Amino acid sequence: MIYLYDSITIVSRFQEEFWKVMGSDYLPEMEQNGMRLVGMFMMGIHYNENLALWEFDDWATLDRFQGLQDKHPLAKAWQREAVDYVTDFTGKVLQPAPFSPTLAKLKKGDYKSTIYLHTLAKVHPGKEDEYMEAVGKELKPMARRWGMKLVGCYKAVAGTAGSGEVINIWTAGNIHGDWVKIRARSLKDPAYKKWEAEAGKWRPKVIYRFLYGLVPYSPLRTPFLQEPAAPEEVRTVAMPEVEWK
Amino acid sequence: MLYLYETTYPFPGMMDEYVKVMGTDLIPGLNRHMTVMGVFRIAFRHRESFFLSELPKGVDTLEGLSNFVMHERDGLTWHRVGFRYRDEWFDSLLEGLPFSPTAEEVVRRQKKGAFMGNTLYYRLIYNVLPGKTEEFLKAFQKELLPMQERRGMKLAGCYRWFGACGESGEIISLWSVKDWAHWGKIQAAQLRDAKYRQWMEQVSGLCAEWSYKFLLPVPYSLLH
Repeated sequence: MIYLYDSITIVSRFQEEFWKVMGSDYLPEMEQNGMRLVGMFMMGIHYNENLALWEFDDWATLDRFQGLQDKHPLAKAWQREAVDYVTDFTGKVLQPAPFSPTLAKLKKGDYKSTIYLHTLAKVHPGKEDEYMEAVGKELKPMARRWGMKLVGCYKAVAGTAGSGEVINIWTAGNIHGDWVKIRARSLKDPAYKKWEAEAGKWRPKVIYRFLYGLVPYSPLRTPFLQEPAAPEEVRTVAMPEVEWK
Repeated sequence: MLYLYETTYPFPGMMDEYVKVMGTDLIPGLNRHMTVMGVFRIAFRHRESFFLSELPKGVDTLEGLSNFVMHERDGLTWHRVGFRYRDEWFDSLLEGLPFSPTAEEVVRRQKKGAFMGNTLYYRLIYNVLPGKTEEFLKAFQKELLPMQERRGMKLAGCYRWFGACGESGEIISLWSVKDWAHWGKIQAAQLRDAKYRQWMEQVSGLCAEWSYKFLLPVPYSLLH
């Protein structure tokens, strides 16, 4: 499995409208061409940044994706439409750790959450696999005890990225009060203190963000949102038919 | 105590109007939910401002803030009007360290003359190496804090990451400075001080890097 990590800079006042039109005018073509949406998130708390995470089977899918972007009339129409909502975007291609759950597993399991913790570790060059293995063996079971489930563990392998980027995404509670408890448990855990001291040999720095799962059609989203409507239904809401008289 | 740390980017040329309008249209509403401790422009930067607010009810305050922008009239209006002035903002949730003054303490100390009449605040962010945070904080409190307060700087806050945007090992400190002339005297005194040189050597072994900005408080800022 391979993942596309799309960091999207949006015009913040149009955020919800952007989510709607993306669901109706972009998502169906992407999914028909082998790109499966894992999550569409609001970056917390950076009001004009969204993150879309896509899963696909192999590198050849990216060729199809590029062809779609370059030639397909609907993709071209979307690019013109998106100008109203998107001011910039950058993509990284990510390779998952062997223990990182696939979208199929995420859909079967209980991974819905309002808040996700996104960590980007700046790992010393060449130490990415060693660090990811340690995340799987040591940090993942520890975090489970605090109430966090690993949603994904990836390293950047292509696209726009720096050396040694390892990205983890964790469930982090449904209300901010849940996060308070998770954090308190982690700070009291002697295993975490040991982990923090040891992890310094792989990475000097971790950059934290919250991701808010507020998009109705995103497989990773808050449990407070109902199951998403079918794409056609969404299209009707987002782009009502106009009768010319 | 928890704090909301917010950096916003007003459009070029909008800074003066932006901070003025916030003072009349936003801050009174925000103060119903949290204590806005500081509103600052960034020195030598034309489109960056910084806010620091105390969350009296911890994360529950955030639910009140959501309510403010979704249901309360002044909050709803600001939510729309604010887009005229700025296009980007970052928020972090921070935890005050045990020796960091709360808003209540700042007000109490203002009666004795601290945090008054400053034209500058110095925000120094340390990136402490993994596993060294406790050692760093002990040294900060025991060695740096008394040394700097003797030179006339007052620690207005010292925080670490709690949630949302942030970095591991990040310790954010905020100090009052009377003005640039005062800063010049502090620099000269530090150069002569053997204890300060010792501190710098110690901190170099505990931190990966540090960075700073100088903040200019707006007239209605509690820290001014």
